[in-house]
Amino acid sequence: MWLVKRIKWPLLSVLFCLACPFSFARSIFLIDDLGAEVLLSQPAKSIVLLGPNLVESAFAIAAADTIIGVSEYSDYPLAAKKIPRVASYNTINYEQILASKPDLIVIWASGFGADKIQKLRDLGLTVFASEPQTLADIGQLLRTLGILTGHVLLAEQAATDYEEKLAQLARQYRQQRPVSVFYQIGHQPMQTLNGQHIVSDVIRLCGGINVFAEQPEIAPKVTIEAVIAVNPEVIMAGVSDQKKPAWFDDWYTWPMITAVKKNQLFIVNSNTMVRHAPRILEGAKQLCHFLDQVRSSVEVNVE
Amino acid sequence: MRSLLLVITPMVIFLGLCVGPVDTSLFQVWSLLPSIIVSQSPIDPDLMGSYPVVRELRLPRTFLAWLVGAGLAMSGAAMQGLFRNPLADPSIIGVTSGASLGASIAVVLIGSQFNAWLGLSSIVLGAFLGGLLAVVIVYRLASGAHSSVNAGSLSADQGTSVATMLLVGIAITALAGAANSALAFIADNETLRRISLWNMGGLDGANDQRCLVGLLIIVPSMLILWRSHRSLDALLLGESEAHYLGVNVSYTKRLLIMVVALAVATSVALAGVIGFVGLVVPHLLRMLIGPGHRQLMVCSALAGGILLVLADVLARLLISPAELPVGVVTAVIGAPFFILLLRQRNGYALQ
Repeated sequence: MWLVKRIKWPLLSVLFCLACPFSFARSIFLIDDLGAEVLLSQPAKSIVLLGPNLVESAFAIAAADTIIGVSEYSDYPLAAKKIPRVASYNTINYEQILASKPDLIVIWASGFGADKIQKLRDLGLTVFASEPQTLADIGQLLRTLGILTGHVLLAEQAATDYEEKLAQLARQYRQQRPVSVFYQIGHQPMQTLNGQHIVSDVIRLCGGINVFAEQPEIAPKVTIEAVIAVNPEVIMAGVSDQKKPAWFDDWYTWPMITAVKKNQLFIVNSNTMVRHAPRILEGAKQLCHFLDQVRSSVEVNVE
Repeated sequence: MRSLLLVITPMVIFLGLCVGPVDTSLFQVWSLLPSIIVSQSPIDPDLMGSYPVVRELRLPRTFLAWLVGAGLAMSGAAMQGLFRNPLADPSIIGVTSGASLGASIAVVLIGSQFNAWLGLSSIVLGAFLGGLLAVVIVYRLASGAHSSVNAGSLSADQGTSVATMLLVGIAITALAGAANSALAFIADNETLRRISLWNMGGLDGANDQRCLVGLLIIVPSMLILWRSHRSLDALLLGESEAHYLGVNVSYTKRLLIMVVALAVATSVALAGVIGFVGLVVPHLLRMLIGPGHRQLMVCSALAGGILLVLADVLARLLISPAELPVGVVTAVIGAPFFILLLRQRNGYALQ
């Protein structure tokens, strides 16, 4: 009954968290994204966040003062860089975490893996495993962090704000002409992302079609020839520093690709595209804007 | 055997030109052949669309696959003969792990921005230098250890002990592997992904420059290896026997090791780590045609080329439009065949 299930009953969790200060004497009971029970006697005052998206989300609900440790690459907002690092992107410094005695650890589940989550629990720590998948899950993530840290109202505000903006983008682009997009990661080897990845969700939001959405692997390795075969209207390279890499101009060798012929090649900041945090809307706006440019240039061509 | 392989070779190369995510019929590719071979020849306007795909993507890729497969298999035959050890493969002298480490260092320290020299990326150069450096270290260490470890053995052998070289090779491989893991540990996700995919091998970086580099280094190396076939035959009897047959044992060793290092470092640099071909193809051929190196080396090269081109075709085909790492495919098609042959024959020339 008090099970807060992700996605299915987002409303229930809101009701639950509004009710909890009264009926449960501030004790918190949640089911995490992997189905494990998480029990806190009171909202966490010191938390360790293992996953850059979790740190961004905690800042978004003004829970930054509760964070006592983060994982590597937690670089946004700038203040996050000053928080002690207690884990790399995939390894955890258990001793450091134990020494800092956190009330709670929130961990990006697939980034670290079930073994590490179990080990943290075996050490007697309270762990909430987070595994948001779609754009819609980010609102839920904000609310969950709100419950866990006692920032329920601020979290509700942030989540509503996020969901409104998301809905607005969805409304704006639902009726637009679909544009086929190839999202490129890296050069040699060249990879893309399939339909399960949140980047594909962002492309869909903007009225785009991910040309490799149907591939079974989450990050398929592809070749120039495969891109020629699927012939996307847009090629978009996600890079972490937003500088155009030298190899991006190699595409101009292949004018038979529509995206190249019409010069619809874009660079996007991958950090705003791949992290499950409210900032993803910035990346989404940028991507939607690029697709708009493409649509309007098509209209010009028609005239 | 050799003529059979010679007939199959152009067939699989043609197949390599025909297969890919872009639809091209056998006939289309056939009609494009003249313009691919003679660059001045006119192209049928209907085929203008597929010409660049076949010429700029599939041709260099297929050619590089053949070259690397042939080079690795022949190097493997030479190493197995030289070390008289069925487990020897081109990576045994540390060249592969050294190249792997060199590539990782290039990825981590330089990144992908630098992309200049001869159209070769920093990864290619890093791998090449790393591979050669590793072999030089292995060789120097093994030569230095000669007097103590190999004491009492052949006096004519002024060079290196085979056993010591194998052991030093293993040690250097472990060391380079550890350094590689350490680099992977400090690397971020993006860099890590590039290192690990590179380590699985891939021919998708093939272009004309890489083919030219391969042609200029791997082909002469193969010729030198092949010219040593008599010495290798003699070495099968044992080092002292070879010595009394008039083979300059230490010179042959030094020559073969350096040439194999050069060929393998080049192929790892150009196509990533492709396992299995260098180990298994020479064994296969030895079972089929016997241990004489004159035939064995030529047939190994031909079969290695065929295997890698075929594996690359499958890598492109199986999950098209995406593709598998080619090293995975060589193992999956080669291993069952190899096991089958092993079960049919109990023991052969190297055992």
